[in-house]
Amino acid sequence: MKIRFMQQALILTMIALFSGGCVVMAQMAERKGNKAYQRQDYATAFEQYSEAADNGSATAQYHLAVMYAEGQGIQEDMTKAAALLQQASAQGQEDAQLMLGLFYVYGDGVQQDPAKGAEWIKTSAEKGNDVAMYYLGNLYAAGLGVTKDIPTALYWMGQAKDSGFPVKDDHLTEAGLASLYES
Amino acid sequence: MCIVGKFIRTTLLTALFICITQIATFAAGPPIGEVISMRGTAVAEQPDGTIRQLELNQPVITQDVIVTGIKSNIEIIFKDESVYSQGPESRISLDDFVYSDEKSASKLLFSMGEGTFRYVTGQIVKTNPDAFALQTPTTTIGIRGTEVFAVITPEKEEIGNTKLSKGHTMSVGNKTLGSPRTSVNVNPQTGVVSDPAPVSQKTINKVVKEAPMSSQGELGNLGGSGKDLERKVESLKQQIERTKGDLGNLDSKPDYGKLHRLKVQKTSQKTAESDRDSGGTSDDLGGGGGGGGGGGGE
Repeated sequence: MKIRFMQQALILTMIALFSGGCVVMAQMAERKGNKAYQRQDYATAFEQYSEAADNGSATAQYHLAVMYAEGQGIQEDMTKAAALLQQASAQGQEDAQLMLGLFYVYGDGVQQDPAKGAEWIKTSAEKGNDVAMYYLGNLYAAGLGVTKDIPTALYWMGQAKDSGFPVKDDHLTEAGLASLYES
Repeated sequence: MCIVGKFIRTTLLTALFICITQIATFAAGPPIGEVISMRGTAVAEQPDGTIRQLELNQPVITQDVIVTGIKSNIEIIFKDESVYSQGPESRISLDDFVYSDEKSASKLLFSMGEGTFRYVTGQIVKTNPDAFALQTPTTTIGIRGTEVFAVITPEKEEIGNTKLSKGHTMSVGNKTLGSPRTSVNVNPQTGVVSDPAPVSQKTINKVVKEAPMSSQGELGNLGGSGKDLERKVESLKQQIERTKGDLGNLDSKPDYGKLHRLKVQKTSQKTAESDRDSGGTSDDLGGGGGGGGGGGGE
């Protein structure tokens, strides 16, 4: 009985150490990726972000997605970029959620689906991402992916402003927002 | 009372000095750009001998010769949204700059001396590329939409690009560079320009390190004086604001690169704050927290 307990404890400890090790390795690789990216050493950045992404880093998956979308250090591939954004978004990475939302709105790397795009952008906005709040306000003002709703557009523009986004004064009134996508 | 009097006197003298500096600047000509990040010391010299110490958010004007000190760098944004950065012990003369609604009236002519330089093109290159020229001591650089660099020494001039927009080219003397991340070498004695070749990562490392662009989210060297650490935090904060302000609405497809730049700028800002708070001993990018973690992001 005692031996069995010790065996289980040992297995759990091993799993915990392995998981912890993966997280640490992912963080180290991500930081190396960040440094290389700043030096515009895209080959190294791609390698390091790939390692971190494989070890579960959502932020590295996001960076890697952008490298695919921009063709930095790798052939441009919007489909791969979208797949990586899906992975990062599923882990709750709010920058990835915003970008994935925009991919759906404009049909980049995925089948165009503005409603799905608006959902991802809203998820990011609800987590406090001020840029997502700004885009969500625009979606409501334009009636793109959501039903046109100027008061809700105004609400999100106000939230974006309060969260630090430099929203133009014109976008902080119902009249201004109503005229934004009139044509 | 004495302390209060001293404080008021110092404040008034400082305000007076700032006013005189601004008046002198505007008397010489309208601002054509503004300092958006810097480290160490940089001055602007006018042909009449006037010298201004440059500081964050201060304007630059036509005919300024920008000179950076040892372990210094400066980054300037111009009215046409082009961004210029120069490394330590470098000098450039802002000979002519006009940015006008009338496209054919816009022009830019800068002359580089020795040093390390980077330039990201703006509206003038887009609207009137033939009126744009960057001169080195030996040759002329023409650009059609790119991020260029130059490393100029008495022995050699290496000129190239780190990015080149699709379908665009740059020229150096009689040579055309049509691929991204390529450069040429110019012999200052003979003026001969080599054929374009891939630029080495070593050269890119040098220009990014010596002439960082906070507008690109680049952190540059960590450490420095308390003033430098404070400047870096402030300039990145302003850059983030500027990048957000540049995001368009839904009329055009979003610039994913610009959105990503925001993330890079935020990560750099956190590192810069961490560096400042630790007194300049931080040695890692993303060490400030937000950039380093896994899920969840900022």
